[in-house]
Amino acid sequence: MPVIEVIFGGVILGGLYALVAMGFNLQYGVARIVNLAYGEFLMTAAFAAFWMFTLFGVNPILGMFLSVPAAFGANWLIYRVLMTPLARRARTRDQLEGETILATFGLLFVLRGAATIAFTANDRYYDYLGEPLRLLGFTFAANRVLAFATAGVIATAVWVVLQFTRFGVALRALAIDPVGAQLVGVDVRRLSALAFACGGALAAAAGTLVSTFLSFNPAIGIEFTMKALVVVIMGGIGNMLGSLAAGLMLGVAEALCSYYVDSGLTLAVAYALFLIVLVVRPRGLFGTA
Amino acid sequence: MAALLEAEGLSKAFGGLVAVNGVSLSVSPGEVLGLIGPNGSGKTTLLNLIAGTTRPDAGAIRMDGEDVTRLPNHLRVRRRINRTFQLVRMPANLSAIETVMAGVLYGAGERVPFKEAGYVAAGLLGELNLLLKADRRLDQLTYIEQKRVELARALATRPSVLLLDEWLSGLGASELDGGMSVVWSLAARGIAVVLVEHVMTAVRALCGRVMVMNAGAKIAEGPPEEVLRNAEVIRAYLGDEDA
Amino acid sequence: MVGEDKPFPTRAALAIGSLVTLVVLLAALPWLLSDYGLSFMVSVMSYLVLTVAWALFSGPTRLVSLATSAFFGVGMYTVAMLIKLMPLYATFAVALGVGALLAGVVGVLTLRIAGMFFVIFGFGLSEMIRQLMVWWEINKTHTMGRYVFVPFDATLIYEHLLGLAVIVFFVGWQLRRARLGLALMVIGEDETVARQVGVNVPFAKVAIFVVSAMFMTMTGALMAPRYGFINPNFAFNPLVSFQVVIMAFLGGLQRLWGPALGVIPLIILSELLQTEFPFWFSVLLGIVFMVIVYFLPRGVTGLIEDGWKALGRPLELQRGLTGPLVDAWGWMSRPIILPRGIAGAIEDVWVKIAPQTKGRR
Repeated sequence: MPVIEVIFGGVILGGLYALVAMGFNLQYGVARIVNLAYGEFLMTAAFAAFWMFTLFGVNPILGMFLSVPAAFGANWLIYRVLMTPLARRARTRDQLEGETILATFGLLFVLRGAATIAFTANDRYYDYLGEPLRLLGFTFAANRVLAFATAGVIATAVWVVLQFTRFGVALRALAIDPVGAQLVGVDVRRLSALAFACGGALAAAAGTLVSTFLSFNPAIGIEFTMKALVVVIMGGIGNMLGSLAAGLMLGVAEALCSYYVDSGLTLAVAYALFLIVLVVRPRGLFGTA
Repeated sequence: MAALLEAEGLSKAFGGLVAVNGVSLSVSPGEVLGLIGPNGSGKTTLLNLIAGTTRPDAGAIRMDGEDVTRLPNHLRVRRRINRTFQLVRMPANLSAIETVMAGVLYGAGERVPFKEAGYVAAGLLGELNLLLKADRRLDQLTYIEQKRVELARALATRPSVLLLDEWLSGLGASELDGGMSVVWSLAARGIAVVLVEHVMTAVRALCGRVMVMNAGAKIAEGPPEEVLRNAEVIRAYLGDEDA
Repeated sequence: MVGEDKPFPTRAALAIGSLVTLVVLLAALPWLLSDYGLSFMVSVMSYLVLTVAWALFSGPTRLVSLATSAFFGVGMYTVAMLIKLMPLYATFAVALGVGALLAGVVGVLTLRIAGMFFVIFGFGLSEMIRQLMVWWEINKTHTMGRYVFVPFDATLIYEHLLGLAVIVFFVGWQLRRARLGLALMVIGEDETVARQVGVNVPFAKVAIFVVSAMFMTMTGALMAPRYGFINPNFAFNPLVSFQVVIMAFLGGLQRLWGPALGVIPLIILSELLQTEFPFWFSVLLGIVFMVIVYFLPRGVTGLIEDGWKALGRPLELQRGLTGPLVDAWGWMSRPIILPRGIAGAIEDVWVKIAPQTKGRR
């Protein structure tokens, strides 16, 4: 297999990571919640897609029209019920980060445990568009290409909303300066809840796409949370285009590593990138210094 | 007398805003240097640069002949430069004496054994009339007491250059007299004091020399009476039409 | 805080005496307990060391470390890998060195920057090392799991853990009387002030992080002979980090002995859950933890201290039971406050409704 094909494979994977990271970035960058249970929503959506496909033959892409709004609602509720008390109680941003880390750490084990009870710890896989597709003279699995294209559409939509709508401008203002945003009439609580919910919705979309071409089990959440964290830190907190670029980098790095070394070392690749960022550019590769 | 602390051409910009622009400053042991200027003129930033709270973009700082420009905050404390903050900063859940003890233990010069640090700290608090409040926490102290505890914390590290950021502001008339005598006694024991202040009575009474800043630059320097008569200074404070 | 209280040397002697007695009693337990009791005490003792060590770092600095299982696993797996090459105690020493080195590198890299980076790094650290070890064992050594068969039975493990617990308490106790301990308290409150009293903030944090990690690594190493067969998935179990955080928060972080109070209830709970509802273990543990975070931010220690204060407070009945009666009588005999009559009341309301018309007195 030529290197260029490996890199293309990495780009496809990276598009997905970018989507995962954008959702996390909405939750962390805008709503200021470090959600360690983020990957659990991705995992749940993957299982939802799996059951809808195997039981009722629902097309996963269509199934997203069900699971994404559901995730939006669930995350909005979580923010309202679980995060608002912490946001009220915290006096500083550091304190809020600390408390939400603890609360979502607990939530992680609740969701993961519940998923293990409901779905067992076994690896799941379903065959959706597994046939090879020839593109630009290379062969890819059709489901990967579809996942990449869908991720691209969703990511572009999110970017357009953030860039060109009133809602998006308010979100970005909140990410940069919560106090200033409040002064110009942004309802911080309401908007934070919406940003958190949007983040969860993106996680669900990403989870559905993951399920179409990777096998998964209830324990995959931590790994995706970790990767989302790394990508967000690399790309800069609150910087969506940074997330996109960093996500692609992680995907390519991972693809190269699994081709040349071993496919079981994906988290080590993420950590290596994390280390480079920590040592060279602690404010993120594209962050403002 | 030879200057103890010398800063040369210090500059610092935050984004497009040049907060301090090529300012030089020197202060000798036992001298009280007044640093005045309108709000936003860069006085606190200059203090931050000297104390090591922020790093300068350009310029050099020498302490006792040694270049300390690149040294981090805590090492400048050990080179005997310390400061107070405009808004008092004190650990909220520690008592006054514990905060001061930390300064005694980590300050410049010979290391003080832990068991003695408490007595040294108590002595410092006693000098500032705070011995009875030694076990109080921040929220159990009045504003003036907080300011004094912060001074004790700075003195605990045995500084020879002390940067006071509006330490006398917000005091009533009788408290001001007390505060001024404290500053005077610091100078009398040979500490070089840089006093950022808006209270002009204190500046006139305490400072042998005054430096005026406006928009990040030094616009005047000299004995207080002379400088405060200076037309440019009046303009900086009161605006063009009044000059 | 200032100096020491010397008027009651007998009190200090009493305290030391009772502590020594407690340790001796604990040391005698293996000969008094059943096998099940001993294995229970082994897990209590191991979590006691982990939790108190965790609190050494996370208590004063307020940085939540999620890396406990990484160090615990490093200790355990180092012993498992080296046991065929060298004597047991030598493997312990190597494990300790590896743990300290890992903690030093992680600390230097992440503790210089914002606390967030440290938490995130620790969160995935154990998982990453597990991946690396699995890869190494499969591709390089072609072993999946290692046997640790050494004459180091539960009693010996327990006694060693007890010794480690005594040391970790002693270190924690000494830290409260030392420069570094005070510096860490100031750092936890306000790093700017810490720098301004001359503390080298990153160094202090890394130093205590390494000390804390060494205790965790040692615990993992001591626990290795407890399980005959060890693989990376077993050694690097994220649940360990989680349980330690829960125990410490349940106990409370304000006192040195606080975290210890959380250990026994949680281990009993874990045992119960694991035997009664094995599948629900992680869910229920998560719920317990969230309840603590939301409703018990100061932990059991906080409850005890509040209770103690309430007991020590003088009952607010200085005037005896007659006091309330006098008050009630006074209230009843007070003149009704309508000096201006009903008309006055109406006038007041009118003034409020129509503020522009000045009410005439």
